[in-house]
Amino acid sequence: MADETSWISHYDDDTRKETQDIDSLSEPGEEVDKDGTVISLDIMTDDLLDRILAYLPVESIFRASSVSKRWFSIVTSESFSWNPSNSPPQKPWYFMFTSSDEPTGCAYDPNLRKWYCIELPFIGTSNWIISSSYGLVCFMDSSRVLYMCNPITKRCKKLQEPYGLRFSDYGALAMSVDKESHSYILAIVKSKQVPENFSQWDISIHVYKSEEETWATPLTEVLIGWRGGEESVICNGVLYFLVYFTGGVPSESRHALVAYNVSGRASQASLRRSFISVPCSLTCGRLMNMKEKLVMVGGIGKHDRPDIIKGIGIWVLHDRKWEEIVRMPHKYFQGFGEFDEVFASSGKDDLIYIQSYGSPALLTFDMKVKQWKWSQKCPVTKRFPLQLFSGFCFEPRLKIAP
Amino acid sequence: MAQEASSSTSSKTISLKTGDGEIFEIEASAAKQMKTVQRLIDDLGDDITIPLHNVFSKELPKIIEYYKKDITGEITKDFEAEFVKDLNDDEVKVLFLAANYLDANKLFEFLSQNIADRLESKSVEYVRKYFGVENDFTPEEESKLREERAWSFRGIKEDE
Repeated sequence: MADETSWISHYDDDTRKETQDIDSLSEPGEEVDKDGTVISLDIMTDDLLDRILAYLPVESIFRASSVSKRWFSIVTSESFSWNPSNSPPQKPWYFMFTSSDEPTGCAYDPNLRKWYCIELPFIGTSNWIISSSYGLVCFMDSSRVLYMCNPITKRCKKLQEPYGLRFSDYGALAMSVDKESHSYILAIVKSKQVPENFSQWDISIHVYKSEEETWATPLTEVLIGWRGGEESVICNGVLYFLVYFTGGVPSESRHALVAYNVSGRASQASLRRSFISVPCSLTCGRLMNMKEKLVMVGGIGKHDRPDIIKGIGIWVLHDRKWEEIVRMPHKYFQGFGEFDEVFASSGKDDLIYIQSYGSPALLTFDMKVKQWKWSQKCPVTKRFPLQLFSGFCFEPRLKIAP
Repeated sequence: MAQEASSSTSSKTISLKTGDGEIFEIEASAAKQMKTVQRLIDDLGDDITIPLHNVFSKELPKIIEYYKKDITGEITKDFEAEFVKDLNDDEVKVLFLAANYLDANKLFEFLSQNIADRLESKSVEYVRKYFGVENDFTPEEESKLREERAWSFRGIKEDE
């Protein structure tokens, strides 16, 4: 039991000093550093700091990266595991554009129930098609310029567009990030009306792989009476997009869903054959990836007046069949105003955001506990009657860069 | 000859000696929750007073109090809130480091969360002082970092 080492106590701040990395404890109470000096174990090592930082919310961690160079490298290091398994997972944030002509907006953190005013560096207007995955957000504007960015760190990169994209009437954007490698796939569904034949549409799917930095066009097809729009998402390696009936052929419904495998090499039967019907007459249909399941939020149109909705529903796709998860309770539905109001929805993991275009009111639905909740009131107010609000859901991640 | 701590009806206690020479008793089942102590018991036997050079008489009673509650399954959110209520930030830090040294996982996780909660809206300067960390950024680097992080710098509590 004889103890040969002497202990140095470092409780006193004055004697505290920067440390080197210390290996995990094997012998209780004793560690020897490179010089062979015995060091006490009651100093804050990187490992310990790591454990405390892991419990901090995004706002504090981001700020913490400006404490010192060592803290900066801890927070941005690959091995920093933010959010240890015994605390509840961070819910995704929602970014709301608050002006149609300025690059400003507010991001909502549902974990702290707090709004932050964040500026997106390049944005000219709020008229973008947006897709996000694992902390990265891709923006495509009407002239088909593409940017990939991390809204928290504001790192941003312009991407090369696929050839011929500018000459399209509609474009839908979807992306999927590989969590391990941080590489990503982007898919654009382009729809162009065939000149001289208004019921025919040239549909093409373009796929970008970040590792190769190249675009490929694995599929082109002419659809008759149907076109793509701006709504698509990638779930589990499958690209889903909504198509809209344009007339010229008989059809019972005005909307359908198309599934296209972007991950495998297996060639697929035509798009037309892979139409999946939607559960009802739909308005403002929006697709989202909720833990790799395809979820759709939409207004349930009245049979005789499909542009007027009698409710808002949420469905999940199982293979090719829809299961209705929930309908928005009447009291929340009323909070959105008129029944034919346009609304947008977006979601990730277990949280869905629903926003009315006409106001900054934001409603959330937690899929896990099946709970509806209004967000904390947005600090922005409507400045003029026709002002429109829109936004998107994203995961705040410090470590991923475009 | 040290006996193995088997299922005995009378609760076996272990003697712990702090770095400043005071002795405290703890139940064997509570001692099991502190892996460092358990290792020392395995090496030295449970009849011997276990030396804890890096833990002092100010902290150890508090740690023992926590694990006394733990072995009876009574740790609740209320208890934990009460436990840290009257501790200032430095006292919590000392406890946290002691829990780390003792490899007392449950207390360690709880205190990690508590320190994070206390620091959540503190200023960068406060955090530097608290951890004894020097600012090694140049003024230009620091101002650039702050500008990039502007939105996260609003709403910070004033330092006391």
